[in-house]
Order: sequence, then structure tokens, then C-alpha cells
Amino acid sequence: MESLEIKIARDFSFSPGPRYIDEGKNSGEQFRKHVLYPKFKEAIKTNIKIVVDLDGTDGYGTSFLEEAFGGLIRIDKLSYEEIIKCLKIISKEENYLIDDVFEYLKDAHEESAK
Amino acid sequence: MHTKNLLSNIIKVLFGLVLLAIGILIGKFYNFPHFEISKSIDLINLFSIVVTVGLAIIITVFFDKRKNDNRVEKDLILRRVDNVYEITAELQKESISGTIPYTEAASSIKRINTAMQSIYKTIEKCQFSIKDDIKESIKNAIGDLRDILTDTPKMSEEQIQNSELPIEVKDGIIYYNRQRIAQIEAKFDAIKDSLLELQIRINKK
Repeated sequence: MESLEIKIARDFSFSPGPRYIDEGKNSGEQFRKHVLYPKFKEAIKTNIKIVVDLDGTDGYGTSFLEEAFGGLIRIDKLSYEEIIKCLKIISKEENYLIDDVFEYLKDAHEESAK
Repeated sequence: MHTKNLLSNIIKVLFGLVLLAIGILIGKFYNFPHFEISKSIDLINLFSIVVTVGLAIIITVFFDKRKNDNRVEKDLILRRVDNVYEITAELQKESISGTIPYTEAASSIKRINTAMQSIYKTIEKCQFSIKDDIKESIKNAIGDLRDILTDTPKMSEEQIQNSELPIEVKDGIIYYNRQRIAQIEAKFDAIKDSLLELQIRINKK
């Protein structure tokens, strides 16, 4: 399966910021709106995999990752199943972040189903 | 270093020779009452003495070296755990002041995490085994700290402005209220307890 790679340190910022654009620079909302969501739309449409590489940055706060990934379901209304089908996360430096991202997606899915 | 070792070996050999000479002189000129010293020694006894002395030397040298190597390795690992403790203490000091830049909180957590991964790799290389429960407890404590320090509520700007929030971010700076600071302190205590437990376990190895 073909894939599309997003390396956050290269394609967005070396220092990811807070949750919302109003809260400061390089937010999760900004990343989702300008990088992640457009690529996801393309990937779902063309049935290719998205590989998000989290390595190489200064580090992530919880709300950045939650807003970036959970927001795809909560705000952009993408389906949980479609996201899970085409998303692959790479995080060699902090491998527990992979589980965290999938947990945020699951939580957002469960919240939206209520 | 090489010259120092050579000198030390020469001194050891000379000391051995002096002891031997003293032994011969005592044997020659002094008569021990109630004891008879035989002037001959049978071959099997001589072989047994040589083997015993050889084994004693090998065991002492081998175990001493191993014990010494273990101590050095343990000290190196413990020093690295101390470094993690220092990073944690710095982050604690700053965050309980009530404000911290968002990126700084996130990067300090990453530093703590990557330092811990590197410590576990070193522990493995040194062939000490550390049970997974302590690794899990440290991982959970760091995860909880990351959440309490950097998880801001999912709300609209209007809702944020009209609420009394335990954590807020303005211009990339996080502000905590008193209640959140108390929770943060508790999370730092949990991490420090786990790090201390790890140090104790490493030291017991």
C-alpha cells in the first residue's frame, strides 16, 4: 500500500505548541487544520496510508496531540474506522506516544458517539 | 599507567621474596617446641598446595574484579538516575511557581523520558535485570505528570474566558491555579518515589 509521510519536525514545527491557535504558536489545531486534515482527506480519497513521524521535535504536550488527532473526529467529522485504517504513527524516541494517540482517537470516537 | 602497574608488580614480587627468605631463616635457625618439621615433602602434597594456592589467587582476582566492575557500573547508572532527578526537580520548581512556557514543559517531559530509556538500555548492557513493575510505575508517573502539566480543556474561546479553569494557556505560557499546583506537586512526589525505588533496586544488584 502506498503511503504519505508527515514528519512533524520537518513539515510543521520543531517545537509543537498548545491546543488552540489562540493559545500560542504551533498549536495542535493549526497542525490539524493546515497539515494533518488535508493529508487525511487525500489519503482517504485515494486509499493510501498516512505515516505520521513524531520524532525529532522538542516534545509534545498532551493537548497538542489530543487536539491534532482527536480533533479529526470531533471537529472535522472524519470517521474513526477510516482514520484507524490508514494511520500509522512512528515514535522511536517516545514510543508510548503511539498508544496515546490511538487512545485520543478512541476517546474522541466514544465521545462523538454519545 | 603501565609504569605504575609494573612498579606495583615488582614491589609485590620483592615482598613475596622477602617473606620467603624470612620463612627459610626461621625454619633454619629456630626450633619449634612440640613440633617436628619434616625436611622432605611428597609430590602429591606439593601438587595439592600449588593447586589450592592457584585457585585461591584466581578466585580472589576474578571475584574482586567482578565486584569492582559491578560497583563502577552501578555508580554510573545511579549518577544518571540522579540527572533525571535533577531535571525533574527543575521542572517542579518552575511549574509550581504557577507559570511555565508550554514548549518548555513538553520538552522537559521528553528529556525525562528519553533519559529513562537510555538508563534502561544501559542497565540491560550491564546485565542487571530490573523488573518491569518499576519501569511501568515510572512510565505511568511520567505520563500522569505530562497530562497534569500540559492537558488543557477542550473548550471554545468564549467558554475558556467565562470559566475558572485549573489550567490556561495564553501566548504559549501555561498558568495553573492553586488546586492544580497541589495536584502537580503530588505527581512530582510520585515520580521521585519511583526514581528512589529504582535507585534502591539498582544498588541491591
